[in-house]
Amino acid sequence: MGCTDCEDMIVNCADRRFDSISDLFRETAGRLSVPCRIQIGSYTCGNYFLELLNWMERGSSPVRGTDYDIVLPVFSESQLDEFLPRAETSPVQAARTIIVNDLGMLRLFRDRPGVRLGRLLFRDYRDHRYPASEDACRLKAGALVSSLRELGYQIAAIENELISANSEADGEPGVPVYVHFPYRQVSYGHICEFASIGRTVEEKFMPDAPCTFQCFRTRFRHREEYLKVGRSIFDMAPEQWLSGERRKRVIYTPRW
Amino acid sequence: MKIMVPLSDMDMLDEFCRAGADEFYAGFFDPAWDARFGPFEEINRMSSFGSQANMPLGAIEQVVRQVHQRGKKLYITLNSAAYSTQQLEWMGRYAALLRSISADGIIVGSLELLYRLRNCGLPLTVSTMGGAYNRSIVSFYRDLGIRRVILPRDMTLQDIEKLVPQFPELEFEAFLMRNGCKYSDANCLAYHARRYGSLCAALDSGPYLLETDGPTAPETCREIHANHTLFSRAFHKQACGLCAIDALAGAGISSLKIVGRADHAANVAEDIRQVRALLDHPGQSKNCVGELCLYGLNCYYPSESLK
Repeated sequence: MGCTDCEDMIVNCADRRFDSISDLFRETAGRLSVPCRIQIGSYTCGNYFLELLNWMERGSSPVRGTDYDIVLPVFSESQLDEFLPRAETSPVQAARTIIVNDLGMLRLFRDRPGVRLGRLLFRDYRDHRYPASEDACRLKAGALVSSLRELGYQIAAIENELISANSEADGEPGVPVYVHFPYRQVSYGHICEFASIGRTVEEKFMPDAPCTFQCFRTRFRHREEYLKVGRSIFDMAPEQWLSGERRKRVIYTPRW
Repeated sequence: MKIMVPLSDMDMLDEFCRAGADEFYAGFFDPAWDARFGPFEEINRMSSFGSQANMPLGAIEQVVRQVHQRGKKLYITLNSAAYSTQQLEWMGRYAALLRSISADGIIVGSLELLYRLRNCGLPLTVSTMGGAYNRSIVSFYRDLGIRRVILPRDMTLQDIEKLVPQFPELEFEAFLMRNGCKYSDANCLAYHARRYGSLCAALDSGPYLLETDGPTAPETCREIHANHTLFSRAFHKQACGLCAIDALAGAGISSLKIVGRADHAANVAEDIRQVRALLDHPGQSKNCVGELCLYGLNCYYPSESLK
C-alpha cells in the first residue's frame, strides 16, 4: 500500500495474538515505508483486553520502548469490575492516546487529554450490498461530535470509515478524522462464536463468555468479501477506496 | 413487571390488550422524510420495513388516543443508530408533535438525538441501539436525564442482576421474546432491509472458508465446523426468556419486551399470553420448558436454563 502523502499512519495491532504484535508492527512498518505508530488493545473483546493487561503487567510488553495508542473495548458489567481498578495502571496510563469505543469510557477518561473516539462510536450504516447507499448517506459524525463538545468533552480525533462519502450535507466534524483500512467494521456483538468451540451445546454462545482465545487461531472468510474475526465482521475496502481525504490519516490493519 | 409489546397494526390493539399487554411501542413512516433524505436514511431501525413495521405519521395521534382509551401507554421509537445535523432538526419537529398529542415517551438510539431531545418534555428511553452494557454507559445516559434503559439483548442475566440495582432512579426494560440476534443491536451497521435481509443471515446461508493459523487436527476442524453449523443454523432462530422471568423480576426489571414489529401479529399475541400467565403466577417461570428451548440455543438468558 503506497501512502507516502499520509499525515499520520497508525498500524493497528489491536485484537492480534500478543506474541505476534512486535513482529507484526515491525514488518508492516517496514513495508509501508512511512513513519508509523502502533496501537494495541481491542475494538471488540473485553476478555482480550484484560488478558493483554495481564500480559503487559507481567512485563511482557509487546511494545517495549515504543510509544503506543491503546484501544478500549466495550466492557460487560462484570468485565468492568475487573477493568476499573486497573484503569490507572501503567499499561493504560502510559499510552500516548486512549481510544474509547463507548460513552462510559469517554466519561471515565473525561479529564485525560488526547482521547480519540473509536470506530464503534460512529454508526453510520455501511453495507456494500447496497452500492447506492454509499453516496446517498450523509456523514453523521459532526452531529455526535458537536453534541459531546456541548456536554464539555474534549475530543482530539475520531475514527470514521465513511469520511467524504458525502460530507457536504453535514459539514466536517471539526476534528481530525482517521480512516480504518482495509478492514471496515460492519458488525460486532458480545456473543463469540469462536469462544464456544469445544464447549457442550448447553454452554455455547453465551454473551461475554470466558474463552481460551480461540480467535487467535481461527477465523472465517466469506467469499473474499467479509472476514469474521472473533466477535466482529469486517468488509474489505479495495485499494482505490483509500483516496483523497481518506489518505490523510490512516489506521492500517495488517492482513489477517 | 409490565409487558411491552410492538404495535404495527391497530386491528391487533384489542387482542394484544386482552392477551395481557401493558404498554406499547411503535414506529412511523413519513413520506416527506423519504423525499428529503432518500431511501437509505432511517427514522427508526426498522424504517426499511415500511408499513409492515410502521404506521403513517398522520395516524399516530389517533393511535395514541386509542391506546390511552384502553388505559395503556404508547412509546414512539426514533432509534436509528445515527442522525445528521439536518435530520436532528426534523427529529425536533417530530418530538414536538409527539408531545402535542401526548405520546408517553420516545425511544432513542443515538447520543446526538438524546442530547437534542433532552428538554423535549417527554420521557426518554435509551433504545437497545444505545448499547448500555455496563454501569459507566448507563451513568452517561442517566446524567442526560433519561427515564428508562432498554438493555442489550446480548447481555447475561448475571450482569443484569449486578447492573440494575445500582440505578434505582431508572426503569430498565429487558428483552424476553422473539427475534434473537447474534450481534449487537448498537453496532450492527448493515441494513436490515427486505431486499437482502440481514447481513448475518446472508453470511450464515452462504459459503465460508475456515482459516487456521498453523496445522490443525482434522477432529479440531470438524469441531469448528460443527460449532459453526449450530451458530449459523440453530442459534437464536427464535428467542425466548420465559424461564428467566422470576429472575428478571428479582433483578428489578420494570418491563419485559416482546419484539416483532414486522412479525405475524397472532404469534406476538400468543407470546403475550404466555408471558402474562407466568407473571400472574410468580415462582413458576423456572419450570417453564418447551420445544423452543433446544439445549439453550434459543435462550435469551441461557444461564438460567442451565440451572
